[in-house]
Amino acid sequence: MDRSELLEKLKGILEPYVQDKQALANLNEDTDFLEDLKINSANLVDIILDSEEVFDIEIDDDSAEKMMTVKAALAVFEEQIN
Amino acid sequence: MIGFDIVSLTESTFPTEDRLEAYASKVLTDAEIAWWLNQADQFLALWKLWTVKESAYKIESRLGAERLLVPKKYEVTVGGRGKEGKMGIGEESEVMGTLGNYFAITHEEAGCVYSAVAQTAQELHAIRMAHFPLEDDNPDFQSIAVQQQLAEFLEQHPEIAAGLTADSSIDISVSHHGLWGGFAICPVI
Repeated sequence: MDRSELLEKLKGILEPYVQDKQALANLNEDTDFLEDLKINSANLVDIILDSEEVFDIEIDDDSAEKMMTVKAALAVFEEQIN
Repeated sequence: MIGFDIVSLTESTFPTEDRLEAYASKVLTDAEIAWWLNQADQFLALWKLWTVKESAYKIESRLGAERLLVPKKYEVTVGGRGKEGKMGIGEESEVMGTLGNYFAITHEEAGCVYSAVAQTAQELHAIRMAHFPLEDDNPDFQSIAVQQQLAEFLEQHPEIAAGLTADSSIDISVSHHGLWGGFAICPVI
């Protein structure tokens, strides 16, 4: 799965938790989950759980702690999938 | 220094018991899990612990801690040391964080749970908290609504507002989630 496919899947994972829908339309690697998408911090955990389900991976605490931006999330997915 | 966090319970439900357990396994330490498994209402107990952790995280963010998702690095002892496991209205707990230990108080109301955390027990007992429903779900409007409520509170409590202009100061932490907002305010001691 290439990076653009990962990004599209991540977009689908984020969608239910995003409060700023316009920011989701402009999603890019620099997008910050809290600052740009206005995702509540409690939902960051949901994003990790949903990512594990969608990609059939296990995200450990060390990897999860960095998943606050698109770039960091994609890096975790790439590491786990490949 | 203080931190405050509120969680709307209606926006924080889990579709299945498995999802609740999976969520808990991501945010609770082994010791917290041991306490949590013995709670009659695990849904409520989880959010109580979360709001304490998040409030402590807010303090540490202001102290310069790196911005990371590390809920397990904030371990809550409900009831405080020596009174572990006791629960009640306005229940107190202690939190071991990454930069220090903190004192917390948690309240449960119809529809929401909120906690305030302080660096000292003296600060904790001086904290005043408020929570209120919000009409708009837009996060920007919610921030404004919380600030308006805070301004009204200070107008109604001039003895606290005086701290803003005198040599002393006051510490404030705000939060909103779902259709609930709130804040904690404390004189700097």
